[in-house]
Amino acid sequence: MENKNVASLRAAHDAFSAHDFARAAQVVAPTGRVVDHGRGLTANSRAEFEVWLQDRAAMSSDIRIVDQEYIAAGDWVTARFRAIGVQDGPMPPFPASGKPYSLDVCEVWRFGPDGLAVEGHNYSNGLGLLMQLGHLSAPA
Amino acid sequence: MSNQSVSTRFFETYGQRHDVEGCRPLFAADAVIHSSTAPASLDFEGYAQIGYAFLNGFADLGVEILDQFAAGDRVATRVAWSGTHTGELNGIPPTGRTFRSEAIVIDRIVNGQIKERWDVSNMLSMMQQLGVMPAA
Repeated sequence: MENKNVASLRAAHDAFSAHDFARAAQVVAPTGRVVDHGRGLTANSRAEFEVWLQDRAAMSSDIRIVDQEYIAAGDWVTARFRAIGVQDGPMPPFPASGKPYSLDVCEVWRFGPDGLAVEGHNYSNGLGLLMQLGHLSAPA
Repeated sequence: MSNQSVSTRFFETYGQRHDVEGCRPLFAADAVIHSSTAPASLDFEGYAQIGYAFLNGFADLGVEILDQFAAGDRVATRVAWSGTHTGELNGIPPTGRTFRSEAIVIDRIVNGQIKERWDVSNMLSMMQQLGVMPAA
C-alpha cells in the first residue's frame, strides 16, 4: 500500500496535470510554506501556492507532469519528475516562444500529522528551460 | 558504510576537500549521472570534468548539507553551494562576485556505491548572482 503522504502528493500532481489547481493546492496546509528555488519565490499559504500553479499554466496551457518517482522517509517525501508542454504564454519578462520544453524538477515536502504539507521546496533547471525556449543563449 | 554516509562522503570529499579523484570510489564503474549542469546524462568522467570546472571558477567552493534522508536504496540531500568567482568558469572570466544557491541531489546506492544520481541545481540563480545572466 502506498505511503499516505506519497498518495497525497501524487494526487496533487495528477490534479496539476488536469489543471485543477484548487485541488492540487489542497496538499498544502492553509499556512504551509513553499519555496520555488528556481524562480526565487516563496509562497506562505495555500492560497499563494495556488496562484503559483495558475501562473505555470498561464505560461504553458498544456503543462503536465510525467515520469514521477516518489521517495518517502518519515514525514518527508521527495518527488522527481519532468514538467513538459509548450510555452504558448508569456513567462515574464519573456514572451511566448511557441517552443516545447522538458523541465527536470525535484521537490522535497514535509508533511504534518494531519497529512497536509507544512513545508515544500521545488528545484528546477531554470537556466536549461530558458535555453530550451530560446530566451537565453548558453554562456560563452 | 550506510547509504546516507556514501552521499555525505561525496559532499565532504568534493564540496569541502575539493578532491575530485577522491570521489571516484564512491561511484560505481557504470554510474549514470543526470545533472542539470549538463544537457545529457554523464558517466563519472564527465561529471568529474564539471567538478574540475567549478573548482577552477570557485577556488573557495563550499557546500552545506541542509537536509538529508534515506529510504530503501535512495538518499535525498538538500544542499547549498557557495563560492567566489575568482577563476574562469567554462569561458566566463572571473567576476569576483559570490553566489549561494540551493540544490537537491538524489542518489540510488547499490552495494555501497552511487549507481545513479539526479542532481538539480539552480544554475540560473548562480549565473544571475554572478551578473552574467539577466535577472528576471
